[in-house]
Amino acid sequence: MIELALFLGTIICIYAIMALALNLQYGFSGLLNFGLVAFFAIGAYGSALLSLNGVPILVAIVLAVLISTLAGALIAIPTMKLSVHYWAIVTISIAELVRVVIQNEEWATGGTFGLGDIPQPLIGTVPPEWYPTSFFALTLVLLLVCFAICRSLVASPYGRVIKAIREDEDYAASLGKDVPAFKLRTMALGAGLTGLAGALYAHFTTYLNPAAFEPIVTFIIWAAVIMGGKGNLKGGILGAVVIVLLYNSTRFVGDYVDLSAQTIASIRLALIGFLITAIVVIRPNGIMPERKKVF
Amino acid sequence: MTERRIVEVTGLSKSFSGVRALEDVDLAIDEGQIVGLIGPNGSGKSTALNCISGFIKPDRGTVKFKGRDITAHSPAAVANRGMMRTFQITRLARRMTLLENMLLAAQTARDESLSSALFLGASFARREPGLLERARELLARVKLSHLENDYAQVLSGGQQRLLSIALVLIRDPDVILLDEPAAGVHPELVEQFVHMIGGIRRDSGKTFLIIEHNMHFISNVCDEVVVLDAGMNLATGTPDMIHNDPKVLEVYLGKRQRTA
Repeated sequence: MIELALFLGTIICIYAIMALALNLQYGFSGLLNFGLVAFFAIGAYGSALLSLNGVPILVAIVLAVLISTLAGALIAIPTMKLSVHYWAIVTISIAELVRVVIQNEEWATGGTFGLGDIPQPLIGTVPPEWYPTSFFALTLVLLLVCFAICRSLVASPYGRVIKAIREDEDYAASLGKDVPAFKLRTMALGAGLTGLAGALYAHFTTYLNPAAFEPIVTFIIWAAVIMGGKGNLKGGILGAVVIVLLYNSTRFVGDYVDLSAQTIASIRLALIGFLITAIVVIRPNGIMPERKKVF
Repeated sequence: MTERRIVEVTGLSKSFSGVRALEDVDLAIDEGQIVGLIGPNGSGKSTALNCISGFIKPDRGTVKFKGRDITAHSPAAVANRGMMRTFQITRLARRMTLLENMLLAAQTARDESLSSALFLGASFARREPGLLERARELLARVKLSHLENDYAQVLSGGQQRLLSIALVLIRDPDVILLDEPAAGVHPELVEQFVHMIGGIRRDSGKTFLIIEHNMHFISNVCDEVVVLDAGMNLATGTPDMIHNDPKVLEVYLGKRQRTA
């Protein structure tokens, strides 16, 4: 039982870091990033491949974060002047592109067979019976650090600019704000956070394959942010908690009803869809709506 | 001539997929002058203002501001050089409070850098009380103090116009471009605008370019009026001259019918 709790706790922290990233991009800046999973994959495979090739794990994680940040910036540079909806389509294709490349570049990524034996940090120094707890503690600390960074960001003058861009780009430009530059920075920052989540995921599961980077991951994080509260960092984290617990507790539907495994898998997704719809109808701004700043 | 030319537009032309919006338009504004830009609907006033403020790139022609060619500047760059605009349909951050909108306008690019957000937030924290005080002063001037902590989406159309003027003023620009400030607002509010613009001119000698249909507004506020028709310069002169110019009357009221 405790193993399951630690497993879910770690996954929740990893997803919550992505929820912070998407909240920064969509909740505060209005960027419709439907390709979140691309940066998750880049961070995961980046850190895994680097550490498998002899780079110390912590250095590999830092490098993977930098690579994802750079990837976010590189994708943003040529596309930032597109209007929101066209840009959203670009992000979807980029995520698929990344997945297909991973699937086909077998010499590096192992293709559909996957990439195994990814080393874990501090494996020799922590007693094995404490390892799951330590890994959970590590991801929790990193989640808190990411939260602190995001919070100081959205409370700063920078945060006011990205909110204004979300509300009306031309308005922000008319007040002298360099809109494409702010979008670029927000995109890169969010990509870096998502890359960190990916790196943690790789070293946590020790095995990666392209099936773990389907668009469903992006969808789950979107659901977390919309349910929890767009424009509210804590809300996004709460959303990640709710959705991971839901997704994993619906596993046990099979214990109570006698249906085929396939039907149950579909029912799980349908249940989540139903709950999201219910929350969006009852609380359109999420469980924890954006808070008004009062001076 | 003691006055200094602050804005100089020459040969401005712009077509939208073959439809001519502006053809060879010239416009000059001296420092401290209030110039009205009028013309029937579709005469190219808004396109001209969009070209001057950097929101649209003209096909031909140049816009000079304080002696420098700013034709290729982005809207943000034009604003940061000291020429700011409002919009015909007011643009605001609706889910930000009035004070947040004011601080957004007041803060500079240096305050907004990522490093200042993450490491040196204290430098802005020191400046913030001063900016807040200035923001409150200006909100009081446009009679919106009671709404300072409300989201901008609660404002009426007229209140939004007032806020947009306060937003421009907190940046202290040299030139202010107003796109139909009096359109669709209550006559009392129009009077308030007339007084406010007069007051701003007396206090700070700012330069204005104002697009407006309301002739009462134009006559009471402007030193000079530029009339556009079908994307071209039709006439330029004092409000009185323009009022009695037969060419202008013709485009506004139509040709006198001649019966045989």
